[in-house]
Amino acid sequence: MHLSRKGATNGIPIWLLAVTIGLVIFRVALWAGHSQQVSLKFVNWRPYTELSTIARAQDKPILLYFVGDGSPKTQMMEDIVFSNRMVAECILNEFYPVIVPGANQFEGEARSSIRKLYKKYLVVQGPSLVVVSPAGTEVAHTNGFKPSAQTYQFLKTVKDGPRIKEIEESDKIPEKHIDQSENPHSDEVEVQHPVGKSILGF
Amino acid sequence: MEKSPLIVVDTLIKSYSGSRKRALNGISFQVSEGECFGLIGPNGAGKTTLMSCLLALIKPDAGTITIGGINPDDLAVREIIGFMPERPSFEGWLTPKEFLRMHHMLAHQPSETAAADVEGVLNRVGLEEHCWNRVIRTFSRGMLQRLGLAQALIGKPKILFLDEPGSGMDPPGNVLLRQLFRQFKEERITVVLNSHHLDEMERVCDRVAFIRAGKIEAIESLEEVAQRPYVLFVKWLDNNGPDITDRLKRCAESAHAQLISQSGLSAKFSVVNSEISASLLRNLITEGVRVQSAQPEQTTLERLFDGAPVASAEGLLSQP
Amino acid sequence: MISKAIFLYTLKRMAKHYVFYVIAFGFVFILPLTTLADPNSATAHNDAVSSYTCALLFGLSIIVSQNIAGGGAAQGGGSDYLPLILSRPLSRAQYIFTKWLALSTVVGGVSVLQFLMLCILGETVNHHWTLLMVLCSFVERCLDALSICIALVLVSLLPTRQLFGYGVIALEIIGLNHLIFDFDFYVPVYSSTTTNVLRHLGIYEWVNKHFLPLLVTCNPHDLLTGLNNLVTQISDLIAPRFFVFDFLTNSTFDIYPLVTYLMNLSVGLVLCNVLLNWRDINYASE
Repeated sequence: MHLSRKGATNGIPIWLLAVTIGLVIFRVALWAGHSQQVSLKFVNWRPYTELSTIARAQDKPILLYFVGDGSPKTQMMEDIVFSNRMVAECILNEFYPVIVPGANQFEGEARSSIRKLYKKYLVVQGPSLVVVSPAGTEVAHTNGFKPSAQTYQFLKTVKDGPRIKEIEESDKIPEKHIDQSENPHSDEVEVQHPVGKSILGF
Repeated sequence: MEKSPLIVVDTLIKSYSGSRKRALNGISFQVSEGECFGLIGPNGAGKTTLMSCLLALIKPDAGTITIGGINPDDLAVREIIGFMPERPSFEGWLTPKEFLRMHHMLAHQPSETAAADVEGVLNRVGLEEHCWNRVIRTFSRGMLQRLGLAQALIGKPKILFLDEPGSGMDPPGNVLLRQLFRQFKEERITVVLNSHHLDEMERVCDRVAFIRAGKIEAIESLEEVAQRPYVLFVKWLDNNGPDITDRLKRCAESAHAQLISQSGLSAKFSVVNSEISASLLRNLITEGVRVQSAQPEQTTLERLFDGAPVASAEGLLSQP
Repeated sequence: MISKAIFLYTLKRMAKHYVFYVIAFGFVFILPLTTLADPNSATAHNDAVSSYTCALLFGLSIIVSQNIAGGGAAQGGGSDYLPLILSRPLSRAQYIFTKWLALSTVVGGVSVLQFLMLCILGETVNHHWTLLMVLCSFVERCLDALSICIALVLVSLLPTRQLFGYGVIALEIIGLNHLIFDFDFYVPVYSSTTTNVLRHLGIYEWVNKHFLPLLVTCNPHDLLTGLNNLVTQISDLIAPRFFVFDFLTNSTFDIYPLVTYLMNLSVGLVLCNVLLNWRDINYASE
């Protein structure tokens, strides 16, 4: 009896190997170009040091974007999520976007204050988004990277939900007027938000 | 029987990691189409490893195996083989019918004949009908063996690899096995059989390979082994006269045999081959000895394991 | 490339164990119902019933229950079914593909049913889902199932029960990583999500102040973040995700995530093939 070959049952199919090698090469080639790519900046992130200033405005909740230290997903957040027009429009229209960088790139007091912020809002992994009231009370947060759809849903739900209004109501504190004689710009009335400083943890 | 080799094994070497000894140490043999080829040897000799290599379940370190001129791992080979492992391990939650249907499908058999084929093979292996829809985990060892055989046969194989098919079988099961082997012979199915049941192998095998420590020490045809010297054990009904010993000696000498011992109504003779044995029996009957029975003291294959007795040399076995 | 017998038999085997139905019921009905606890929660609906967590945990429960019940590819313990199957005219690659697709069908099916349940409960309406997001989410659930099932098949092909155990533990660590840091559901008793509950109970503080410093001398927060990043990277490597909605709506057309996803899938398949071809299938010991 002589049999004709019909194909080996052992071994890896050649076509699978070819597809895998092709995809690996393609991916490496794309990565080279991808790493050069500049992501579209639709969102103008304010630095965290301006938190006090922002708090004074009090007409929109604050969206804190915690970048994290060494998170591999931060680039994805910027390339994908914040480059999505829908998400970007929602952020710009509904929130004050504030970026909180990773603490390890700073030294001294800056590092300490950033760490306090991370600790205050229990941010363990970046990138994470935390919505806070102007008084610094947390309304809602995400843990880690979320794609555009989920980020959009999160932002819309927070903005339109009842919780944010409840928290803003409970945060209301009477405004203090500063003695004009102490102020060289006497025609201005400076409104100091007493809890604005607490956002930064000082 | 055609003599073109169907299975060719050439200088097979296999060792397992962590073991200093080789499981297979240069095994070579051929099996012709329609032949029943037996593998015998002590435990740890390498029979199961050899079987696994033939089935392409494990890869040898060196050497080649061809079945029908191609690698054993080829689809074409898989389509014509059936395999029954030594300790069948089946999914206990399936019934025999479901199990065989799955293997029927796996063996690329046409789905239209599935029901008929499954029932046919279950009848062929003698599994009772009331068990066909019972879950396998309730089966006894003998029933599992029958099911294992059924699984091997469901794909209508042309080559069968059977590892201890008689293990755990009841006496009717052993009778059934013999019948099946006769059928395999008629259908010209090539069988590679690994068994410790020497009498079973003696009845069904054309040739046997004796394996020890990963090497084939000899390959013998059963006909040839039957021609080796052996001890014939003769019993008779009564001692019809006082000079029985002299008569026995005379008969032995004239038949070119040798009386070894006598005790009561039985005696042992050393004979060189079956011809001599027939001659001796003729002489005894002529001398008036009322022979009751005459049989070799050991079966044909048992002699291969016995370093002891008689004459001749080219022994398969030297003392271990 | 697909073996009908293996596909049907794999589905049948899963369906035979009642544990499968109990777990599937939990994922399809119970978990989505937890999102009703606080319909105003912005994150609960995302995390408690996330596609990745569902596929990973449900898939793990299937392969663990299957191996405990016998019938896995790990040898020993009377569950050596592979020799009989691989002696049939079936290539090992075909076996792997079919197992992968069968597992993905079940895992993806449960994940899609879970999402369907969420839609029925009104989650998509309450949380500003657009139609495109809904459709993309169905597709993403299937893609996540495919991706995670490669890892599950790889683990279930490990040759010994010990290695299988290690593989399960590794996947559970990834799952735990998602659970601890991503999983959030509303706890009515505390009127708060789980993260905040853990803070109220002082657990975060205890971990940060007392537990982590015992392990290393570096900043505990850095340690926790570092560990989380590491496990996240490993899980992305093993089972990457592809976000269909992002792919379709991004301002710049970027094929990189799709290529990454496909590449990881095919690498996973190759690894499964390598594993199954490398190991010797011993059907008995002498």
